[in-house]
Amino acid sequence: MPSELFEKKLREKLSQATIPPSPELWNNIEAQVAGKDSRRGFGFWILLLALLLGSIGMLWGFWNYTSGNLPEQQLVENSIKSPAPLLSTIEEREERAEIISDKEDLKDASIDLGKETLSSHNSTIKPNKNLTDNSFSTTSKSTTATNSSDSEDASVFRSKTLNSNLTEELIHTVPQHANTAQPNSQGLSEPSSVSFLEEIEEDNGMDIYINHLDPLGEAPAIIKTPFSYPRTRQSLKKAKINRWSYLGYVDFHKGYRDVNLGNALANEDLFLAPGNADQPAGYQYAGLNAPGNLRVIIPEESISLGILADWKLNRKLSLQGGFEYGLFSLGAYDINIIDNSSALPSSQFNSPLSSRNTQFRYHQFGIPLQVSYQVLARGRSSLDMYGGASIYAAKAYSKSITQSANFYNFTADRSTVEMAAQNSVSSDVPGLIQYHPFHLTYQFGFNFSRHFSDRHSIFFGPQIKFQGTPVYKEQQREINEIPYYVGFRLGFKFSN
Amino acid sequence: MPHPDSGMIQDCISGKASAQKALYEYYAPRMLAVCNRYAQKTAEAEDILQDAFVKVFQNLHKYQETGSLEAWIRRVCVNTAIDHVRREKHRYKELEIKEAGTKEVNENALDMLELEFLFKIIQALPSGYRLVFNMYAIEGYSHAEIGKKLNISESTSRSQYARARALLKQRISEAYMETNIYKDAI
Repeated sequence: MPSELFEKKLREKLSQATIPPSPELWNNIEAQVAGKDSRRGFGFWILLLALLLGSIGMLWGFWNYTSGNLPEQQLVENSIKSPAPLLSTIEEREERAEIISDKEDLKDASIDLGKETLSSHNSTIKPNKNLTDNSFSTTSKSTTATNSSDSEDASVFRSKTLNSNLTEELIHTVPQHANTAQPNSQGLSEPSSVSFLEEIEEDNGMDIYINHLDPLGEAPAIIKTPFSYPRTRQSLKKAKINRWSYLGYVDFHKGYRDVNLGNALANEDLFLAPGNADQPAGYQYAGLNAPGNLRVIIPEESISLGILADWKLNRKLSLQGGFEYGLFSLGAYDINIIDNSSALPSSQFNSPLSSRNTQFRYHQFGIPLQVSYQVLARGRSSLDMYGGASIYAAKAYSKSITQSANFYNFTADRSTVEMAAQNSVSSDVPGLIQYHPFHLTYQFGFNFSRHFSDRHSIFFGPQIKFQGTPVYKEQQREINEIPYYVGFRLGFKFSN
Repeated sequence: MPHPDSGMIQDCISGKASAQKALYEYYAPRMLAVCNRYAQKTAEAEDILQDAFVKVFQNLHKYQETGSLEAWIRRVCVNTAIDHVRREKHRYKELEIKEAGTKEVNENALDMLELEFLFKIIQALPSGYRLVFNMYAIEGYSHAEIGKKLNISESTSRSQYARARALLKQRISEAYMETNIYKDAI
């Protein structure tokens, strides 16, 4: 039969062929399609989870930030309607004042808590001119009780001092509005850093809240108001927030993936010596009569350096983006070349190859984008978690598998194979490692930070990366479903 | 069984299980025959088919409706089979290959040979031979394309094919004679 006819007949015959698959095959496919769909969305879910956690954190942080500050209207209502539950009786107030006085060692101050309320017209405030900025006092020397009812009066408790150092008084007349209980919206965000005088100036005619204790005991007794110290938007605006900070880091990783390195298909051909079809050169040199496979289980080691700009969304949550450079090294240390010939020396060929001797390296340039969230903060330490994705561009700088011992060198055209001698230099094998120029990775990790100052900190922590898209091309296909890397990150942070 | 149309394809893309099953049932028997040529056993061919159809459903959105869907699915199956053979080759126990003769095959031998038997002959080829033979003789790849795809030289592909072909012819002839069909054909 002529050769073309043979192929033609064969093709025709085979094209008619049908084989009914087993019934359970569809179930497997259906399950796998569903499974792969979910796996394909793995990275998406990681990102979503990170964003969700971040959002929860942001809301939580926001809630915490504002929950101590009731809206102004509510504060007014509280002060008007329900001073009683807080300190309902004079006795209670006196008792509390004594406690405060004892605690703060305000022995000299005699506290006189009256049931009086301050008149919006007549309340006066007397800062002690000898006091430090952080201490102040009030007195109701000229106060007049205009309303006798607790429930109707704004309960600004006054303290009366007998401090003889009071030589000068700053008279501040509280304007007549809102039953004297309008919470001040200014000067309240950072009470410890704002002097009383400044506060008075910033009060701009609004009511004064007494919210400081004199730590030295030189000042008149201070009584805390029964409602919280409001922090309003205005005060937030005034507070300077350092939104930008910068991170530098180094990552160390070990990758876990299987790769078919080299030509794992036609070993017969690969090992054939030219002109000697029956005698594979590779076998000759290696003393083998049957090759195994060149499948390689690669522990991929990498070191990466990166810089990130960190933009704070709030106290806990921030967005980070930057640039990363990585050096990756594939150690082909478990090449499986099987010696089926017991008569031939095999020991040197059966021994696993050392990853240190057999390496392929490539550079990787990446753009990481991630969300970071502060989970815990204790003193000078904190714990952050982060998650995000990186886009990488890979560039090889060594296409060779350089081998010092016990390894085959493939010639450039891959038609012959030579066994490398100890410490010999192997030939380049173009395309032996083929990789995609771009790929995507998802990263997740924790950073334990130690703050040396307000601006400087160092951090370290574990990190895991998942390969979103394959690095190696088909010939070196990755066998793992989701190749991953584990490692740790070490770095420093600098804030503006 | 309905012929898959664009509506069914869209349903498959959107993940509708009933449409996916219908598509599978329509093409699976033919595609299993394709996979069967690359595998050593039918069970292995089913593994390949399974992987191939998973890929089909996950990449169906990439299919351009200008071409034949069957050809597209077939291509996915062939590529999956090639990958599978490459990946699993180290597991194969190659049979001892006797030097193939140059015996010609009777013209009727192929016609008379049962498909099942022909599959067994093909499956019994060494995996490297089988792969190159399938790609060249059945799928229509050129040796240059095979070389590129399998990472081997073109000349290697040619020699592989020549030996595969000779071996296949020899075995077909032997099978033909053994089943007494030969006598009837004469």
